[in-house]
Amino acid sequence: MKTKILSILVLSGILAAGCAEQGTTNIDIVNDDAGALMALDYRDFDQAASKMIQSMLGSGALKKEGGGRYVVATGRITNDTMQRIDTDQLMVKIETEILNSGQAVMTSAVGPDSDQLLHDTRQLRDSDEFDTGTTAAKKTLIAPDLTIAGKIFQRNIRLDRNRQQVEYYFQLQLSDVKTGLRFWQDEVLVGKRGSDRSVTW
Amino acid sequence: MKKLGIILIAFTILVSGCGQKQQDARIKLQEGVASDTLGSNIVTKPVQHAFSALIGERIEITRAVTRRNNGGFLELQVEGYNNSFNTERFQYRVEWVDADGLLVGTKTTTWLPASAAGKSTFTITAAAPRVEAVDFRMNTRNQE
Repeated sequence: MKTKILSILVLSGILAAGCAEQGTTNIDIVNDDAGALMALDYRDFDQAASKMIQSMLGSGALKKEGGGRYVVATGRITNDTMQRIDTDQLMVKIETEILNSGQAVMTSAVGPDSDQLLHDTRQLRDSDEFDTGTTAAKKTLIAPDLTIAGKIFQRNIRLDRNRQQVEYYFQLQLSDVKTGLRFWQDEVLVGKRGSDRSVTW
Repeated sequence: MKKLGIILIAFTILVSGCGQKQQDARIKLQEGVASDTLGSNIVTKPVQHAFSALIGERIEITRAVTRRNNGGFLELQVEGYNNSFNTERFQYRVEWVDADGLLVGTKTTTWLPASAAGKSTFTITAAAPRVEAVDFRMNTRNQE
């Protein structure tokens, strides 16, 4: 009798565990040991950004001869993947480290993602409502010395009937505005192999 | 029969590493390219590979060098050797430390993949993105 009750209890325990709803958990972004995904996730962007930052700063391209700091503008970063990506996922990390390096400053005045408010507030200089001493004077914006532009693109290759290979290329280049000369460029490849049924868009 | 097996294993262990002629240490000739050794010979290979796996041969770090680059940033080069016959894939993360021993938080401190071919040297390089960094700490973990 006792054995029967125990068996029923164990069996119902196993059944109940199987039906239990998976709770929501926060991702441990410092030590995330979850398996890789076919699509790009934050770890891929962290990896690409880390390698790009080290390459760019390590090259000495941002070190201005004679001292001082370069002004850098972020140009267009094209998303040529099948995924909906905000390229800021890559660029914010790179811009942050350029700023923190102390070798260059970023400008918000120009570029595809420039701060529109910088231009709007300049219209206030003609307004009677504002103290003219507090509005930005003409010819105060600083033009960039360098621009960063790049591309993220994807190649899908079918390996066999059930598996595919997806290659994600992160490419960046740093160019001098006055001369158009390219001071630095690099490419980071993140490659994945997995089931053909995994969707990468 | 059992004795023969034991003798074969002992022989393999004893003479391992002696089968290859001395060559330039900077050049690694992989299996299928170089002449056969006990580790690559079709007869002795399974025994030596099994022994290597049994004693858990894996990665060892042989040297870590730092220097300041042209931009004034600390550069790190870590050299190691994969004692295993298999390609070892792992991840590493480098943390940068300032003169007071405090962590310099940067976006470069993230887990990055590394790979070392069997019985080969490997090199990992990293560069601190801040001039305050004077030293480093490196952690590794097995790649899933």
